[in-house]
Amino acid sequence: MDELETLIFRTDRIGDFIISFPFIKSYKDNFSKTTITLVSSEYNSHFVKKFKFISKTIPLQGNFNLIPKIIILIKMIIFLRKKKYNHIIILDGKMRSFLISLFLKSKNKSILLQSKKIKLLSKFFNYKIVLNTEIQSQTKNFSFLANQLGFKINNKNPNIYKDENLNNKFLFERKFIILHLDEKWYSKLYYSDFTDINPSAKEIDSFIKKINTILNNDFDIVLTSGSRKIDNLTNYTSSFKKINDFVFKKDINNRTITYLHNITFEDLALIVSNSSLIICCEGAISHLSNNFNVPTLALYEKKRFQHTKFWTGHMKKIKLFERKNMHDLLLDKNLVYDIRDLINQS
Amino acid sequence: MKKIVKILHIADMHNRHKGRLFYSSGKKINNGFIKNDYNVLQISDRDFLQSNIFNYKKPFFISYIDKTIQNFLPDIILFGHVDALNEDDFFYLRNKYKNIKFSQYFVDTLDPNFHQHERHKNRFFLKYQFCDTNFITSNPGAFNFIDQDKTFFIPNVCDRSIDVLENYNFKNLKYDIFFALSHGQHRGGLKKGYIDERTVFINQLNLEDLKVNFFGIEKKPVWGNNFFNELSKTKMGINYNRGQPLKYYSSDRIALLIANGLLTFLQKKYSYEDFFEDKQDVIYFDSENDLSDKIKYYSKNDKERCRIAKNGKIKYFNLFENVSVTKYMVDKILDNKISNKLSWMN
Repeated sequence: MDELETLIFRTDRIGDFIISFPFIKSYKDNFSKTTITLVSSEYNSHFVKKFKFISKTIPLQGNFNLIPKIIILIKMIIFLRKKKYNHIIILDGKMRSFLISLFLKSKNKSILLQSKKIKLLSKFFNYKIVLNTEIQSQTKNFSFLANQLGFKINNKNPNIYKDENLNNKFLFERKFIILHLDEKWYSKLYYSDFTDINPSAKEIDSFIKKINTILNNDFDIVLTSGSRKIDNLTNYTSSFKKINDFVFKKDINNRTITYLHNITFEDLALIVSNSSLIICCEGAISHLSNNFNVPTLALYEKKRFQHTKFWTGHMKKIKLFERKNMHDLLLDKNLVYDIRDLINQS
Repeated sequence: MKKIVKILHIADMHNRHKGRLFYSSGKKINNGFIKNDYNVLQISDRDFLQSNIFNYKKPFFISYIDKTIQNFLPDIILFGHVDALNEDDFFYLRNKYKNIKFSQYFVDTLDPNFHQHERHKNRFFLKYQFCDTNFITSNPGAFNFIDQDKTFFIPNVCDRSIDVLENYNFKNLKYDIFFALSHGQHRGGLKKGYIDERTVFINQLNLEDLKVNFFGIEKKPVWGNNFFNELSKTKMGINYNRGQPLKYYSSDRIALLIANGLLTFLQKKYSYEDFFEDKQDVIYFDSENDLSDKIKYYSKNDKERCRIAKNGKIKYFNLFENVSVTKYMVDKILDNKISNKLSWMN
């Protein structure tokens, strides 16, 4: 029985799991007798657990220090070696996942390689290798890995929440768009070499008013954010009326601006699924909007265009817009055209 | 100024065979591009790499392709069976020329039951990951390892300047039945002591009193103009493929027989009934005895034989002529709308 178990490594962030979802789901659909155990990151494990086709989720702790890191790896190897696997698939391409898998018992091992560093080693140990190259969309590389393993990803854009009953706890009576202001807008909180958009509280206000003007005041606006605290956003929303611990509201020009504070990823998914448009920096939320087929304007870093296309190449309703300082963004006419174009698609 | 599509066609043109294979699929496909007024430039990989001891010519070959691309700047790079390049070479080219469409065609069988399946699959997969589109001579739906959204069926093409025979115009021909095989067209001859299932099948036929014109069995394989000369002397031909039936698969033998006006016997279960009607365009058979009886019958009924063979040739050209097939390939590669859609086109 154990030998029918497939072990999949995906030990990174939610966006990585979402983009892998069609692969893992199709794998399960094609090899229905197999049970899937997923080694996830600690961060993701709660999110992954709710997918019933994944029988078991094992969180892999992260640690930056070498000795604890080695101890975690050894513990994981000892734990996973208790079983013999039919197949081990390393989707995250990480060295630590590869090292763990080296010591596990399985007839078939496959790896989606992100770095050529472990290519030779994985070849030597007879892994099936697919290079997760950024010269094309990552979903194409997933498709190729699926083909290598003898199946097809039939539904390349499945709704990951199809079988989920998203609890409708935020009721919005009118059409709304989402402005997702997370840490990615601030290079000091994200990648320091990224163009800093850095919207001040005043600029956030101007941006929201501009969006309202572009959309002829036809939509309410919902402000969301990530888990990191952003001072400028806190300042901006300080004048909002508190409805409860999560919901803050303010009216501008007869439209309601709702700030949703400290909400879960599931809550965010629910809101995205009901929205007409998302404006965000490219990241997990654009994977969510793609999942629900919601038009999205995603700000991206020009010098990482290939990397952005690697992540978003499969998305049908996304418009990529170059990152600029907020001051320039507010003056950019193309932004107006793109937002209008996207809202017409919704 | 009219925009002309520029195609760099990298495939074996058999120049080193000194005209022996002037009717190869690669040559016919190349002619199709020219007849469609595409601007096609050709690199014959195997001719370039002839006598490539210790692979010393490979860097020159890559550099030759590279410089040709820079000088010609094609819209499309179409690969035939370019087996000399490896994954890193294709990666290099794809990475360097991201705006050019990469495509391949593969005319060998991908039958999972074929004894060389793994080899053929690996050759196909070598370019598959990096190609935007792939063309194969079987229905892609027949395989669990091929994505149908980027892989398309193409038939074995015929060419008005090559397939010129009209054997149906002659009642009295020297031979009744034609069949030719070889153990690899590059080798030209037969492997010593090697007998494959085609020979076994042909030897089991009961063709008493018939004048047979078989090559690669009793006589040595025949090539070049001699092949057409022998074909011109014969009333009927057998299209026999090795392995398990696979939807729409056939070796290029089918084109050489039907398109040159021979009454052609096709194996059942390859779904060619979708294109050619039994006893109207071709004759289908399901066993040695069935085929033997049908050959005997039509050898004595010239009027019927000529009528069916003529219909077959007309239909083959209507459906599978290189002009329409290569136009379809280019439209698929460039994601153009398919005009004049034929029954086999996706």
